[in-house]
Amino acid sequence: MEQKELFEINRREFLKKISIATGSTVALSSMPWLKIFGEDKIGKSAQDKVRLGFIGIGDRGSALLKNVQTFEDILNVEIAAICDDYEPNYQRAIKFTNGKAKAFYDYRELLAIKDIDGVVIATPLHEHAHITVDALHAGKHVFCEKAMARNLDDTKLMYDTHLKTNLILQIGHQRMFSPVYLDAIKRIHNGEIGQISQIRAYWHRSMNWRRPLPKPELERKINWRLYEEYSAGLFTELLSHQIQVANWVNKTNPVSVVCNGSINFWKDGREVYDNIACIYEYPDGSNLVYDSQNCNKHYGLEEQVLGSKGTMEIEINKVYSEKPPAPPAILHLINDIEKDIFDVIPIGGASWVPETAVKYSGDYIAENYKMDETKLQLEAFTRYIREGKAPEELSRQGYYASVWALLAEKAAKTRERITFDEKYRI
Amino acid sequence: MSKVYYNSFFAMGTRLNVVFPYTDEELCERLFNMIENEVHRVELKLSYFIPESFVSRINNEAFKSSVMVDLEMLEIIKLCLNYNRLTLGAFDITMRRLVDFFKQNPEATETDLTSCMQYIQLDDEEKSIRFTDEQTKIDLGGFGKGYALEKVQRLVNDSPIESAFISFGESSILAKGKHPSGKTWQVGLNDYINSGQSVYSFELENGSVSTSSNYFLDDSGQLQFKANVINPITRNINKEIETVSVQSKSPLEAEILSTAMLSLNDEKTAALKEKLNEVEIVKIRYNSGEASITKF
Repeated sequence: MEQKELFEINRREFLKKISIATGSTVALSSMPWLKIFGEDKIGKSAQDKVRLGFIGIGDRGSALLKNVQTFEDILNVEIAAICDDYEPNYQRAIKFTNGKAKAFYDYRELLAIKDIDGVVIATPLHEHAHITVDALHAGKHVFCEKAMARNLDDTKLMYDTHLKTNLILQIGHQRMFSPVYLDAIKRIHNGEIGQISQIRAYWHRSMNWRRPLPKPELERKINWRLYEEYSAGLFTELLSHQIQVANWVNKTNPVSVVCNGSINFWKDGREVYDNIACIYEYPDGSNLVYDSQNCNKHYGLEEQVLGSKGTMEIEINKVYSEKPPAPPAILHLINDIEKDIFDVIPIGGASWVPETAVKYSGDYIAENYKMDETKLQLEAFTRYIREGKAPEELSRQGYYASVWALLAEKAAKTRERITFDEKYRI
Repeated sequence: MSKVYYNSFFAMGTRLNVVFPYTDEELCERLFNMIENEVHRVELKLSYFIPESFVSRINNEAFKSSVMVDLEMLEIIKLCLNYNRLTLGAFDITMRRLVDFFKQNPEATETDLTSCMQYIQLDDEEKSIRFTDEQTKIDLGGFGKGYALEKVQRLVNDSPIESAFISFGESSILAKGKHPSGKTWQVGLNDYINSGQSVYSFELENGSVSTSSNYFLDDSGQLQFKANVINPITRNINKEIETVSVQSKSPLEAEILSTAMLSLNDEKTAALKEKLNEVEIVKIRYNSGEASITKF
C-alpha cells in the first residue's frame, strides 16, 4: 500500500483493529494503556477538572505544556501552575499560559498548592528524583520525563516512593502510546516475524548539543547534558528511549551489558561521551546492539527488530518478510495450478520494472494514524489521575529503561561486562 | 485442489521465484536450497559489483598481469567470445564503460568509445586471462542470469521433481515438464500498453524463455529507456520501444540471444536465426502506438 493511499482512522478504529488482530482481552491485559484509545467521556464539572502543575519549562517542558493546552478544554484539564528557576523559562511559561497559571521559581511552593492533582516534571535529569519524591510525598501524581534519575539509588527511590504513596509515576516514554509501535509490538508478540534474535538500534545526530549562553557562568546550567554531574549524555537522553523499546519487544529485561564510550569528535570540554556502542544480552541469548554518536546524521534513528520470519523497522513504520509475497504473475500461476486452470501467464515484457519492482521495499506496519504519541501519553496521564491509578507496566517500563541506561554507562566507564544487581529489582 | 510449493530469494539484483506443483515438500525444500546455493555461488563469481568476485579480480588485475582462472571461468569467457563472433558483435561483455558514459552524460546520443572485446586475451594452456588495454572491463550482466539458470536447469533435471516453473526477475523463465492441467507451460509476453494482457505466448516445455527490452515503466507508469542497453555495433542507445524474447532449450542461449538481438535489425536477426537450432525469436515494437509482432 502506498503511503499516500494510507488513510486516517480514529482512535476507536485503531483500538478495534489492534483488538481484533490480537484478541481484545489479550491486547488489553498486556498493554492496558490501550484503553485510552477507546475512552471519550469526560465529566465537565469543576469537580471533574484535573489540575496540573508544570515543573521545568525548557524546550521539552514547553512542548509538553503546549500539548496539554491542545486538550485542556476537551478533557477538562487546567494548567494551574508553572515553575522554573531560570528566568527566561519562567517568563516564557507565564507567556504561554497568558498569566493565568500561578508561577513559581521554587517547585516546593508549587507542590504546596493543595488542589494541584498532578505534576509534569521536565527539569534537567539530576533534579528528577528529589522533585518526584517530594511531589509524591505532597500527594501529587507525577509524570516525569525520561530518564528517571542520574543514579540507580535515586531511580529506585522514585519507584519505591510511587509504590509507598500509591500515586501515579508515569515516565515519558511516548513510543508506548504510538499507534505504530503498539501495532508493531503486538504483531511481534503474536509471532509475526518469528523468534527475535537481535535488535539493532541507533540514534545518530550531527550536532554538538550545546545551547547558546546569555552569560558564561550559566554554562553548566544551560548545557547540563554535557556534564556528568547532571547527565549521562547519550545514555540517558537517547539510549533510554530505545532500550525501553527493546525491553518491550523482548517482554523482559537484559541480563548484561558491555559498552564502549568516548569523547571522539566534540572535544570541547564536555564530560559525557559523544560516541557510544553497547551490546545488551537478553535471557534467551538474543542481543540488542546499540550505537549513538553526534557527528553524523546519515542513518538517523531506528530500531531494527530481526526475527526468523521477518524484520521490523519501527521508526519508519516498515515490516519486511523473510519470504515476501510472490509477484503478481507468479501469484496468478499459483492460483491457476491450485484451481486446476491452464492459462497463459503474462510475465515477460516492460511491466517488469527492473529498478523498482525487484527491490522489495517491505510493507507498512500501521496505517497513517494522525495521532501524536506525546499528546496521547499526556492525555493518558490526565485520565489516570481522574481514575487515581495508571497501569503499573508504564512505571515498570520506565524504571527498567532508566536502570539499563545507567548500567550501560557503568559498563562504558569500567570497560567491564555489567550484570544486574538484584537490589534494584522491582 | 492441487498443491503448490512456492519460494523465492534475492540474487543478481532481482528475485528468483520457484514454483513446483506439489510432490513432496521436503524434496521441494531440498531442491530449492540447492538452487539458492548454486545461484549465489554463480553470483559471487560473476558479479561486476561484488568487490570479492572473480570478475572483479579480473577487472582489477588483468591489465597489469595475467590472471589465472579456473576451468569454469575459462569456459565462460570462451563462450562469451564465441557468442560475440556469432552475433556479429551484438553480444559484448565489454560495454560497461559505454554504459557508464551514457549514465554520466544522459543527454549524449553517441560516443567515440568502442568495444574492448579485441583486448581480451585468453591463454587456454596457461588457463589465464589478460587485457591488453587499460580501460577494458568485463561485465557479465547479459550472461549471468542465463548461466545461473543453466545450472539450475541441471539441478532440476537431475531431481525427481517432474514439473517446475522458475522465474528469474520475470524476464528469464525456465520450465521443466508441463503445467499440471496442460500439455505445456504457457508463457505470455506482457503488453506494456495493456498491462496484464499477453501480446504473444510461448508454449514452453523443458526449456526457457528470456526477454530483453530497452525500456521499463517507472513507478508512475511512464515509459523510460534503460541506460544500460547500448547497441555495441552503433554505440548508441536504441530509442525504438522494443522487446526481444527468445525461446530455447538452453536458458543461457536464450539470455545471450535476447540481449544481443536488441541490437540486430530484422535482416541480421533472420540470418542469425538460420544458424541456430530449435530457437524461436519474437520481437515486439510499439512505435506505432500498439504492439507490432515480428516472429523469426
